[in-house]
Amino acid sequence: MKLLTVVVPTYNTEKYIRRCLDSVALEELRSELEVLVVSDGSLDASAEIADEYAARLPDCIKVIRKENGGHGSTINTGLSLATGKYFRVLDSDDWFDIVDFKAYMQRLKTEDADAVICNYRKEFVYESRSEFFSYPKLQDGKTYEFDKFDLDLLQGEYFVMATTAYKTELLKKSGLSLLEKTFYVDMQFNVVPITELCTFTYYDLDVYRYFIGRPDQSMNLTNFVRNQDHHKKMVHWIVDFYTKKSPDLSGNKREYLQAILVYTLNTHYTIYCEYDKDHRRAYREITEFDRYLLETNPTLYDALNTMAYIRYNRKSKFKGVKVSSRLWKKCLQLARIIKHRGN
Amino acid sequence: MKRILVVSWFYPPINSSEGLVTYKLLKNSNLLYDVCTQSSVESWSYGLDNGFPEPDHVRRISLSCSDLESWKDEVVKYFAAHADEYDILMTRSMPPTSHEVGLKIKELKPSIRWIASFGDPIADNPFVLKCFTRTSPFSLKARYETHMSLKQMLSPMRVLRNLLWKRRYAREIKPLKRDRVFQRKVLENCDCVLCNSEQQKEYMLSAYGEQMLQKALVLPHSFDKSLYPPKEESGVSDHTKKRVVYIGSLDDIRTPHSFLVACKELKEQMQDLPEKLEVFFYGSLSDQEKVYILNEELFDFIKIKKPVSYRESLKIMQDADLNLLIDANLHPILDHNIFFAAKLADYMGAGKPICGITMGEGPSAEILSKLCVPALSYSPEEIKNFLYLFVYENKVCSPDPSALAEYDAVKVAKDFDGFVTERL
Repeated sequence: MKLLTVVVPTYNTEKYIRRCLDSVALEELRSELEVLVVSDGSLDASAEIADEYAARLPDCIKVIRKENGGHGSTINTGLSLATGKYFRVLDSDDWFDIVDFKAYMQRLKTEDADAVICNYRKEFVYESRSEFFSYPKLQDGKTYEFDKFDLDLLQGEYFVMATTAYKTELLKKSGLSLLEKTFYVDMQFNVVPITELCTFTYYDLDVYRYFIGRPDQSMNLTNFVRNQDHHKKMVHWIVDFYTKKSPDLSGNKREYLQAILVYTLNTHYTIYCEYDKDHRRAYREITEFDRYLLETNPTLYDALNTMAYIRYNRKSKFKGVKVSSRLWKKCLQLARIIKHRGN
Repeated sequence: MKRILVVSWFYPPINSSEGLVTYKLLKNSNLLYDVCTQSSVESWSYGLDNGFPEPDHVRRISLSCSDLESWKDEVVKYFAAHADEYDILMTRSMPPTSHEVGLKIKELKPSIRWIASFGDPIADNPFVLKCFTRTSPFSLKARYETHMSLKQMLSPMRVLRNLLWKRRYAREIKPLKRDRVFQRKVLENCDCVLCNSEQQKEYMLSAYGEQMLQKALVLPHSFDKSLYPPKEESGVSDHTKKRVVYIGSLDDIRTPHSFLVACKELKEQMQDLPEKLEVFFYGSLSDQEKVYILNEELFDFIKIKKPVSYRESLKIMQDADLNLLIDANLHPILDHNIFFAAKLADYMGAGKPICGITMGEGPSAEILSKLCVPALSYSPEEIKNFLYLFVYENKVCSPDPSALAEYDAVKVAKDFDGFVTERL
């Protein structure tokens, strides 16, 4: 059994995939590593480039070609074929830091926790700068029991796709099946496995490099507005999932997942209240969603009242959303400045 | 066919990129040329290299002059006396004075066919634009970037300073407007615009419409195999460390900073790095980077060397284990690069591994991809990973020989000859 399966979802990334595969296709790791490059109907040469690597390390790298079904479908395919003890995702425009990845693999040999967490960086390539994300309060190498550990140690952060490797068995048991042809499926990946998670270990290693620099990236703010239907679909899915599962979850898990949901819902409200320039549509969507949330999960609904802009918008029945966002944005900027001064 | 008059301030023996690009084109062309250049280079720091072979079909006309202005007048005077001898004129854009000469010559002889060659755009050059600060530090907008108290916001002194800043800024951008007018005049009057990449052509000409685009000929920079020293002369690499070489000048815009940060971070992780790698920068480097090298104690494997002559640089490229290309990061002015550095063509000719640090799209990224060699972003983390693979995993990044032919000076000159014969 291989130690780790790395799934590399690929769609038209011929410009970046070499950088990605170079960081994992390492001779000394070939016996412990399984790399599954899943080409999601790529129209460029990315799958052919992956073939070159597979030919060089056939016992380590496999290329799977499938019809286009979105990011989620590639991870589903990868998970169904994964044979490694642990499972993690590396997008084909991102890469691993080789030195830390080697150390990570070394430590993984003696690991048996359900999940392994480490740090990551966002690489803003044109600005030549990185944003470092870590869990400074967690202890390097320590295994925590999820239901018992102090959530404050996470300092508001949570485990994301870029930081987490789950046991493959756990992922399969959790019934993780990401939505197809939908963006933002990483939210599902961040939420679903937690329901089955018992233990996790933290490695103070900086492995994942998240590339920021492509204009078509779904994390781009303008694309959030363009892809708002995807976001809406995903948020609905997560809210329904959490509402269904929460009665059976431990207190820690419930609190942890609620924090993720509040964060995600905040983004969702922001899309409509701040970024969407089609104010009528934004008003229609957000009033409808707010009603849905109140009916589906009143606890989550109430939790969002901690955010001033949501509270005020609710009081005014979102009428402000109908107004041009320019004025609203100015008010928000001023509010932020005043808040910043207060700190 | 009559001889072609080439107006170029730079031409060998002067060590200048523009002159060498011109030289390689003319040397490998089958047409006849007279090159109007200058005989005195005392005021320039480029240095001389007298070892270039002088082809029979290229005649050098060295005009003595004290400065660019007087050179301009001398060239016009020369042309007035020999107007009947030439039907085709080529002017080289560095410095743009050559094109001023072109305009004068076109006035004197409107029937002459004029090829205006642009190494870089003269107007709205993104490299130049990047040097300008756009937001006044005294404007109210600045409060989003730096702390500004309410007192400062309301201060009449701030308002006054802001007005003064704007006045000074307007003075600075005036030459930009002048360049725009000048470039447009050249483009409208010439019969052919010579660019070195499709991206440069698009950037310079697309605003003027299809007719202007039709005037353009894209002629990439090229390498001339005959200028490289024979293999036995260049010697087999006897260095035990892997040698990375960068040749050319660097500054605050075209900066090696990401590369230096990557070196520093890799050295922190791999203490034996200085025993396995040496990096040479031939040419100028900004003081900021020199200080960085000192402060981070990278001098044990990163060396800064004096600029070398062109032919010496070819020898160094042949001896290197990796030739490094560093392009300017034009963000936020542009999201893609439009410059094709001539040294990239010379690196290709050296036949040694190449790696480029460049923007995601542009001539360099395109060429490096064709050559199947790494085109890295400005992320120090990505560069660090590459260096690790190069030093410790023996990553191979030799250019694909089949992709080199396109940049051979003989082929490029043949394309040029074909264009001149058929279209002019």
